[in-house]
Amino acid sequence: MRAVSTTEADSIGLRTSSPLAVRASSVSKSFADSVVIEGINLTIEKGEFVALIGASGCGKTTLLRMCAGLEQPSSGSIEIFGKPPAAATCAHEIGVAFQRPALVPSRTALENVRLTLKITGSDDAMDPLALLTHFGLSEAVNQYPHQLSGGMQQRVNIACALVHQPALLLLDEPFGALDEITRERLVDWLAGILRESSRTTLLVTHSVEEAVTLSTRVFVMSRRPGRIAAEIKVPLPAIRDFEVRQSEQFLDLVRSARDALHSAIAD
Amino acid sequence: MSSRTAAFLFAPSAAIVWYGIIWIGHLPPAVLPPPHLVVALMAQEWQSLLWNTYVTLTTAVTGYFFANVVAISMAIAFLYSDALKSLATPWVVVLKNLPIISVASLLIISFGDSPVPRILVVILICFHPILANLIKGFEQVDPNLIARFQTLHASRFQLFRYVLWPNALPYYAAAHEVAFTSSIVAAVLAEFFFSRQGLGFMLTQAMNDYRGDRLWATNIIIATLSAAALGLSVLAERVLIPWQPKGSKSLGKTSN
Repeated sequence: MRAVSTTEADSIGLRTSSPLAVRASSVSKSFADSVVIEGINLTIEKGEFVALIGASGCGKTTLLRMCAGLEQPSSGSIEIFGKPPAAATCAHEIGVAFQRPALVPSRTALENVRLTLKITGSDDAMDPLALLTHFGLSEAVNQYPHQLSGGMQQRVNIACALVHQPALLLLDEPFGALDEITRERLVDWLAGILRESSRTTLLVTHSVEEAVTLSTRVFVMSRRPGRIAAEIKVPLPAIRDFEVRQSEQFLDLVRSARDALHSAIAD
Repeated sequence: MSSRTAAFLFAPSAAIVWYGIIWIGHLPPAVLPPPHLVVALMAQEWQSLLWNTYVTLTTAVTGYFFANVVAISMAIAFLYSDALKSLATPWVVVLKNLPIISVASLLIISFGDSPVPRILVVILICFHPILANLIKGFEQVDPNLIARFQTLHASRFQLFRYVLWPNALPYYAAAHEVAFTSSIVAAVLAEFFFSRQGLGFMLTQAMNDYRGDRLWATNIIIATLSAAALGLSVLAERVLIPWQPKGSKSLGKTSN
């Protein structure tokens, strides 16, 4: 925890010295006349991996977009590392990856990752070439996005979200558009990548297995208007290999998460 | 058969059809001059043909240049000002849909016998496909890509330079296939109605003199120029937009 005096906090725009990565306080969001999210309270500690599951249209993507500063809550507030999301994006503390890879079509894989660095101006960040090589893309670095497979595009997309070393990673169904095999392989891959760093991550997903495999906590959202219906802790070992995922404990967690999801949707 | 072979076969097969029509219809040279007479005339009057081609090309390229300047400025202005876009839309629609001959007559009354009305006619005909495609290119940007850049706190200029402009480029390139070819047609049309030089003027002169051979020679040059304009546009697109997926060449084309 960082000790920041009140005056110092004021001078750098922090209201409280907070160990929290994300704090949502009674957040609601309406578009036109439909209420998408209603009174969500949640906190994410630094270094946590939190998954958000829920049915389609329950507002989980909207919640993620509000954390990224792309949408404003209609009421309530969201703080990222103790400040408004806009200030967090300004400080380059946020990395996002959406379901459909958001790559510049006129630039190669490597150029896309470099461009992210250029815009954030981060000097202490990773070497883009080393990062892509580490992601198993060494042969694809000079290819344009349309020349890459869906799985490769998504890996480049995640490289773009990570290369400027953001303290908070927001993933919006990053594997939703991929086939089952690619999806499973990329979940394993992402678990490995993120284990190496203690980066705070918020993952929005449809898949209960994916949520339990990757996260330390799972939030289950009700159907629209979205509320947090349940919270499930995932006390599994850090490395969740094939054996862990065949264990009773894992299967129990998946079952209880699935039950929570079903009763949340049935309400 | 490759499209290249087909293109090479075009000239000889056109000549064969041409001779065939004369032979079947027993047409005298005054009605339909045979190809060899047209070629002979081209060899004989090459200096005048070359000069008038130069005049027409100058009009077309100058007008085309300004059409690009106008279209790019308007597209960028519309991108950042919805009010301007709303205000300009009726102007664009009216200008685009007026018969170009009626507009040309107005311009000629106002500007007289100078290159200005002819260049304006070229601009009027060419700017719209470029403008329409650029607007479409800006609109068709992946919203997720813009969102991602916003979370990186990218400036408006960075968004334009790295996201919007590259996205519009294939559409812009596709517009040239329509617009660059139209610039030749527009220049000839403007000269046809009021000019004392250029290929369009040669057409009116040849028509008045009942000189079928000169008429055909001029038409062949115009067709060649238009085909060359198209070829150049396609080549430029291929060289300048290397990231364009193969087989999606019609990506940015809008009907004009």
